[in-house]
Amino acid sequence: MAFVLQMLEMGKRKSWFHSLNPNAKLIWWLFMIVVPILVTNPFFLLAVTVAIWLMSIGAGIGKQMYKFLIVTYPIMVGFIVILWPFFYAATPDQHFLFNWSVFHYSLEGFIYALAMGMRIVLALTACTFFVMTTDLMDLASSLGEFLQNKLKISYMYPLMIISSFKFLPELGGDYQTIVESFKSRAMDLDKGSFAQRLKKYIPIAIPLIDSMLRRATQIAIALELKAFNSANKSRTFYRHHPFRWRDVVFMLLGVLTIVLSILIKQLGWGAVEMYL
Amino acid sequence: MPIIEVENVSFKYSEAKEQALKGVSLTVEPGEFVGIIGPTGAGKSTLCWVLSGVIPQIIQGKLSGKVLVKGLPSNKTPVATISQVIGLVQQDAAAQLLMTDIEKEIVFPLENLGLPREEIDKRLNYILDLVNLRSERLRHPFYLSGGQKQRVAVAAALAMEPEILILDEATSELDPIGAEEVHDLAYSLRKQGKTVLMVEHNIDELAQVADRVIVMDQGSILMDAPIRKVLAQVDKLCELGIYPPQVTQTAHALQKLGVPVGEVPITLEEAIDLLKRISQDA
Amino acid sequence: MPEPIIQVDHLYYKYDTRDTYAVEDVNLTIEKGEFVAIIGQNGSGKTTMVKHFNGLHKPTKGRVIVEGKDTKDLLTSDLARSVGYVFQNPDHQIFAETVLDEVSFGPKNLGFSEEHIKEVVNKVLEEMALSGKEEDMPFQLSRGQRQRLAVASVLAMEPSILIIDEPTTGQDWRESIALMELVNELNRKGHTCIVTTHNMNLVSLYARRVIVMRQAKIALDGPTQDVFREVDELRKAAIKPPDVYALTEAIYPGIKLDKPILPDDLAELIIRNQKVGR
Repeated sequence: MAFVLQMLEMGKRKSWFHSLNPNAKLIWWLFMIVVPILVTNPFFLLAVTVAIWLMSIGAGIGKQMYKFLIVTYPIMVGFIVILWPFFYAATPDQHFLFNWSVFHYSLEGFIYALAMGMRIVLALTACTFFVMTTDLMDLASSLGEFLQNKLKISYMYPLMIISSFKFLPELGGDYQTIVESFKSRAMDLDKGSFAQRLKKYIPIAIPLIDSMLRRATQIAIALELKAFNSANKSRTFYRHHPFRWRDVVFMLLGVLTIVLSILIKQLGWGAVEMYL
Repeated sequence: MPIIEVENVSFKYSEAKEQALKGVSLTVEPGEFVGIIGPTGAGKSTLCWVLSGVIPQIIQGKLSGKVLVKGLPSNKTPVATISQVIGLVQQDAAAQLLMTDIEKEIVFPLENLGLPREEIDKRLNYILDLVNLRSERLRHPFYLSGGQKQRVAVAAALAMEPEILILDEATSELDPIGAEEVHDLAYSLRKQGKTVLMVEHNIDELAQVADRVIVMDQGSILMDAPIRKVLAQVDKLCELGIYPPQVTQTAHALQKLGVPVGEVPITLEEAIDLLKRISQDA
Repeated sequence: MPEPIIQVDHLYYKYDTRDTYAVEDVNLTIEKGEFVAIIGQNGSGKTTMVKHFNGLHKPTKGRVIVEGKDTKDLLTSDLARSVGYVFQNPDHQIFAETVLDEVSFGPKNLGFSEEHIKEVVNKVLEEMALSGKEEDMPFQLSRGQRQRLAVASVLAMEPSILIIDEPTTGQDWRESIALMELVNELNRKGHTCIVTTHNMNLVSLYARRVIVMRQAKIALDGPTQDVFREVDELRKAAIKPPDVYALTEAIYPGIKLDKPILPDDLAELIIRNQKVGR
């Protein structure tokens, strides 16, 4: 749960990137997710990834991104690179490390796997950059404002997301206490087979769910007392996020990347196959 | 004109067998500081909910009698409207705070009311200084102490500019420092002319500042009198399971042992004066 | 003959997420059969320290010895046989469908035999004034009853040490006294009782020894009546002793007390001194 709080804190820092309108960053992020779908050329993907890394240094979050991704890259990408070549169709013209009918591992397979990995790397990097430079709560409320005032969709949903971020650390604390109380009654969560240990979590779930239910009732009452009405057609949003030139520029960066991706795809350089 | 009028109110929760409130009547004038004490099950929280409209509009049950808050009937006036007359702060600070930082918490009800941004900004800044939490403006409540959390809860209630503040055992889960912070805040609000109703277990706190105390037990009001008169009833309070201030208990014990005491002290200073006199009267 | 049942040697504890010690160079000895109250502001370190006694925390530096064993190498579930820890909020531990299941949980985990469990459950339910409620659903009990149920389910493991964290939160005076009377009775029967609390009146009524914690260290440690006279030190620790102590000091400055004083005691004292013509 400390992780959740840390994530929220990151987004509150100050930098050119942090000051951008959250909706603009959201759109940029969406573009960045589309790029690895369009293109599998690992060098292009690498270039975009490096560009994001440079931006992260500019945003002052380089170290934190490194700390997170140095662990996540291997986890997410590692087994792809190791396993994918086994599924890569073996043809006689490939350079094989070993080839025993079903178990084959070729250089081409490895390069292909790297390219696939690169797609995930780019997506991961973009996501991490986005989360670390955006105050997620501001995002929820600015999206909420758009949904409520422009599309007449109730603010209830973004509100639930924001409230979750408020209550999650507390639930985490409750969970800790509940586990401690069970340990204090001689229930050891670390002993026993996997199935046995799983069974032990059932009694723990009950007080946890009970505390959530109690909170739910209190929250419902609090919402009413605070004049929240999900049927309201409009409400004021105190935090105002103006759309400035810098937001347009930033989104254009995303657009540019998409345009480049389409371009190289048209020119036939978009796929990793060109290197195989 | 009374700001709160309760006339012969009875209430039974849907699943309960017994009535939680039995024919309760009381009036409160603007600017009063009223303490409410009584053992568990006395109906104190139920009364708070009736005053704020939560009963019967959100919590179901059988309600009878008349409740007027600044002239508004609490059973029919929308809860959101009543919240602009009565601010309710309850025991569990954590469950009343819904937002990821203090600023959001305070502006939330105002956003819901659709107030213009300048008005919200004005109230926000005023309240942050009133509750002395400006430095924590963007903090996640998880990082706040119990006393600070309750001050945020009070701040959020005050944002709607109610004339009445009800503190329903708002300090019972806090340590003495946190409790003091909240009590000091309540006293300062009283000085500004707000009407305050404070439900408390710790009668010592009420002795410091309440004009008047209402003693409840099992759904009824047993006593509704100026603080001194209530605290003097040491035996009755003990019977109800309320621990009277030790200074009052001492004087009462002396009285029982035959020493004339006169007016019973309710503060430490009064007690010291009294006891010094008595011990020198030998 | 009193023997130390808990020994704390130069205990230091630091949470991973913080830079400062939550408990700093704490030394204390608790003997078998004591009734100790540990008081202090939230954040003073009292709960952190007390969680070392049943192994929930392991010392960063120093040692904690419980019934002769170093807690460093023991799991909380191992220590549960000796140390019962009752948490502040009973709803954080209650999970079973019946009172009986709830109370037998601990003993079952410890491997007690069927007859032993039956025997011990009956005993603790009686001790906690819950006899006859075996088939009741815990969530339908009142807050005070749930608190007693939490104590019962810990007692059922027959620990010699009982730690109770803030037993009076959310309860009125009568319920708090009811619980403390039961704990007092257990203490009379030989249990070592350690209670953390903010309620000084209860401390004065029941605890014979008070430990005051302030900023991760022990500020005061001694008999209740002596600790409550240390006005300056208590003020620094943000503790307000029961008013009767200030009253006594005002009327009889420097008087020697050999046990905690209550309003009735002070009244009698004044009467006696009047008669003597002081």
